[in-house]
Amino acid sequence: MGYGMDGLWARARRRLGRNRGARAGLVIVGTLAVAALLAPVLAPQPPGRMDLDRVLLPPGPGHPLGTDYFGRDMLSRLIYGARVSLTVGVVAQSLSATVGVTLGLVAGYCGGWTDLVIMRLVELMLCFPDLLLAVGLTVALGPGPYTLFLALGLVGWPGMARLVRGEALALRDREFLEAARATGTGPVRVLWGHLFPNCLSPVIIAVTGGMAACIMAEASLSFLGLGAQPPTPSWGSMLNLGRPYLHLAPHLVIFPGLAIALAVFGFNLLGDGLRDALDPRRSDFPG
Amino acid sequence: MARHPAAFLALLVLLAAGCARLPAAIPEGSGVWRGCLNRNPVTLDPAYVVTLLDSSICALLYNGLVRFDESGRVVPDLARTMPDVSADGLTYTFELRRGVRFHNGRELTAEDVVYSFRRILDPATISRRSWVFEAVEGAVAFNRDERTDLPGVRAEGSHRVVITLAWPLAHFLSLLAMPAGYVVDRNEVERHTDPRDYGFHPVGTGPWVLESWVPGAYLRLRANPDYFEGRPHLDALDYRIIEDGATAVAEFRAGNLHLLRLGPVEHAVFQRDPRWEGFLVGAPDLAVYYLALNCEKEPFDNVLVRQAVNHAIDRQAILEAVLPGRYVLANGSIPPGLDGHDPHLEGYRYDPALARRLLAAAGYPRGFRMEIVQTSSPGVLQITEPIQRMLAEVGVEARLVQLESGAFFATIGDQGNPDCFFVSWWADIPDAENFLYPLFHSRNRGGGGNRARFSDPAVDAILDRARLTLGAAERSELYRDAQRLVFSQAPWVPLYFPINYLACRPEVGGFVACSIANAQKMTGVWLAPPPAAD
Amino acid sequence: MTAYIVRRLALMVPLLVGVSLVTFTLLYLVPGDPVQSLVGERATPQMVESIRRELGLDLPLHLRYGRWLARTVRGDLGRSWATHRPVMVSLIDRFPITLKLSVLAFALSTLLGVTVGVATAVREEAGGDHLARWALLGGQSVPIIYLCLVFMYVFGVWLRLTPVSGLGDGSIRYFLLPAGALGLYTSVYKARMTRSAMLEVLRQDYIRTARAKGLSERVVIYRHALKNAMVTVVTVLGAGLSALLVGSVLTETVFGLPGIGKLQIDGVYARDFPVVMGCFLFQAVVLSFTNLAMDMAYAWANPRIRFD
Repeated sequence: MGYGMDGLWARARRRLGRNRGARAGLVIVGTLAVAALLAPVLAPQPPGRMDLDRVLLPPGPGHPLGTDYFGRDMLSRLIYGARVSLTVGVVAQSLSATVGVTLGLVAGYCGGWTDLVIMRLVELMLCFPDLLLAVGLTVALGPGPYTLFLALGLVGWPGMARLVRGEALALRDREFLEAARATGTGPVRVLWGHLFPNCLSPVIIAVTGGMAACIMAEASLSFLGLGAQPPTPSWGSMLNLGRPYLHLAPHLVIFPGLAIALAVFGFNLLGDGLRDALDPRRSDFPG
Repeated sequence: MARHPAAFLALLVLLAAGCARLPAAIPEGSGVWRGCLNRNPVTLDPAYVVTLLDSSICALLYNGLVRFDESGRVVPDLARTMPDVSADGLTYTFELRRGVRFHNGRELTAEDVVYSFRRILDPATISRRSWVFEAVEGAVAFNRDERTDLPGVRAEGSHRVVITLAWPLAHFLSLLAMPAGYVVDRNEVERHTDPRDYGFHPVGTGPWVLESWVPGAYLRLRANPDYFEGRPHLDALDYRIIEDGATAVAEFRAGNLHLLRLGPVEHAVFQRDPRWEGFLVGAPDLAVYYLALNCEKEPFDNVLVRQAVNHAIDRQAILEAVLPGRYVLANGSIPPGLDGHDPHLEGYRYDPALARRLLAAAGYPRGFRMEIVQTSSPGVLQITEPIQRMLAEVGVEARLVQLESGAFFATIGDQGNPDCFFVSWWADIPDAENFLYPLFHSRNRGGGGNRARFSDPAVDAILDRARLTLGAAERSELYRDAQRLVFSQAPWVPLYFPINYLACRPEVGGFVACSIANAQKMTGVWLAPPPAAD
Repeated sequence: MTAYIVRRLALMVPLLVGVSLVTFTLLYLVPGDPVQSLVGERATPQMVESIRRELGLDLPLHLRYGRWLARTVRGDLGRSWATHRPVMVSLIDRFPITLKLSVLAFALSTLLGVTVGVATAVREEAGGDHLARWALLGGQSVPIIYLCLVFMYVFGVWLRLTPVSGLGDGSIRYFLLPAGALGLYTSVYKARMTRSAMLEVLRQDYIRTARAKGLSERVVIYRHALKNAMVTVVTVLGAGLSALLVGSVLTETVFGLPGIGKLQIDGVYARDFPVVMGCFLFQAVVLSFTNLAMDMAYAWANPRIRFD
């Protein structure tokens, strides 16, 4: 029963509408996305404005979430931080999805030697522990936003490739592909026009879960001193730099921590809901 | 508080007071010291020690001919008295103490001293510290494998060592007090098939004997009952390796550590807590933090630009916000407490308008872009982020480039050509020479220590002369002149001399903070019976 | 079966060579000179040159790799550039620490995860209560570092039930906190997977049949449903175990446990080439073997799978 994009979306929208968790996830993720996009409008202050006379103020009037060790407004920095954290997630996930989906489709559809070579490569990459590979890449390329994208993207693609290959393998001999091939459609069209839409739901679910993982990974890399670079405020680096202030000014730790938790929660909820909506077979997010 | 020299003196008094009150009699065998190290030591072989941490552990295990006392003065150690120095300043004669034994029981003789020094210079050793002995007669050629003997270090009989220098060197005795001057037992070094394994099984003559070392976890040292200055009061020293600052604080609060090095934030927390009143010890570190400007690279090859950058940064405001009570504002490179420190040296005052005028005069009316290279430790950002903001005010767009330490040192050394970087310099020896010659002599440009790539023949001449000048007063005058001359050309934005704070548990007695890492021998420390935990 | 295992083992060889090549390339890309960070301040170019020679860095790239490979095949992973300690010795010293932490954390997280997963599934099945699901998702959103810090302060500093951190004498007491934090953290995912596997099974026809036959709810759930759900759960558990065995960098760092993860991260920072090569290789071996064990456990739990 192959279907094109339209059927998929209609069905997904219907199911998503019924799923309370997914709706909540969508609201959280949507809010964060809007905050990131409209940061210059929403933030009460420029994120870098320092006021060395008003450092470490607790939450209160003027600074709803307090100020940090340079007297910068925490709320503004968190809003701008959404940009970094979401961008890291989006770019890294696009990268790993592009590479992973392409290789997975090709491997699953072509089979034979192509499949063998691609899958050995995937196995090879899976022999590296995720975080340590990301750390290695970051050190090798020098920390910075592009490194962060690349490191997290490279870590994610093998899993994606394996997932898509499995789907493609299962669909390869189904009638709708036979039909497409029989009508003389070229292999590239078959791959992207027919096979891909039918593998889309697990990809979307994996990407959503991957966004959550990326936000966490950025925090972990920041803990190791390899996260986003200043003056860009990222949640992970705010959290890490605020850590020594746990006793003195706990709001420096609590708010970035909450932001991370909220974003991860949102993406996980959304992923969970999407899994329910898009995949009739299962009812929970597999990660 | 530390803006004025008087406040600084008050600190030194505090340092000498230590923590706990003296009891009537110091309890012998008063227990086990629980300390922590923020990293795993790399090696305990004096020939390969380069870090302060390794150096401080080696100080517990070994002795040299001379050593630093708590205030950084050179005092006799294995030598019975200070050496006889010939009138030309070239020949040093040391009489050794008798009856000094290595931890393995063998008696130390003059031959061991000769062996240990030769070993540092031996090209096969590839010691990182061969430069310490470079003034010794024949050392340079011996180290380059151009001759097989080292005439400059001789044993005369079993307890006399004679060292001759190729040129007089005023601070030579200070160099001998460095870990490179520690005496090792030849048999113990050569016992291992790979001599580098000796670094895990060190055997010295010091007050403490290495009992066990689990890499990454802990070191345990027990008291040497036969130590020539008498057995230490404590039975053993346990050093746990705790890298995460927050973990160390948690351990200290739980009563599991006797001493804690306080970061600026923890310092503020402990300072507000009345329970710790009187248990915080402050001691100036012999170090300087600075922003180096690459004097060989555009636009910093122009002295006006370097001065403009100096005028553009409000150092006082940054330091007061980030390190209150923990810094002495630096206008030069020689820290207070050293001969040659100049309290009257004028700094560049904060004046953004002047900075802009200077930039315009230098041909950069609209500023320029630059990179500030730094390590990725969090404390660094707290200094450089406001600097970045202040530079932006005068039109200089600075990008902060964080590198982890390996890449950082490669970049600021011979491998890279950065515009500007934030770094600190820590004393090997408590001597003004150490804060000028390696940092500003054109001979040491790049990896040799002069990382700002500063070069001025007049400065070189003064520094060369000072190294050969033996009179203390004349020497310190020369260093003051050199410092003034260097900083009038603004190769750095000097930032601060750090003051380190330690929190000490109430039961600790006899602890004295030292400004140089390997002065701390831990022999006078004792523990009172512990009071109730906090 | 034996033939299958032999084939899998044979396939590991090219895989490990691949891992070493990728790592080697990565290390080659690392900017800056490793020697610079070894010599410290005041290095003369001559000193740098002799250390370079000592480490074999003056050789062309392919020779360096060849030398490393030749030594490794003989079981010698070389010595750390920074400390000169043989890499093999470090791995042997440190793996037991990681192993102890992993096994404890794994046991805890499995016990907790499966119990919570089953309980929430049964409750949800009965009442359609989604609260547990939300709570589990929320639990998965807390960064591990903060879980570690909370554990450390609550149990170590305030309640004084356990040591705060460190290896101590290596006894179990010292592993309670890190394993607790790590176990709790990893249990959430297991609970979610168990819950969903259970829910799926509970909706199957044969469960309805079993219930209709009047079997007690207990027998239905534990005898029939859980047994079938375990097939999925075993895979999750296996992946979880191998992820722990390669070293938990963050937990090891926060609690000051010198395990494999810590060894490796220090090696990466110090550009300690032999240590990093050795660690990645070691982890690849561990991952390959646990994967093999997992596949066999899966086959054992699910007799429909056959080895080809």
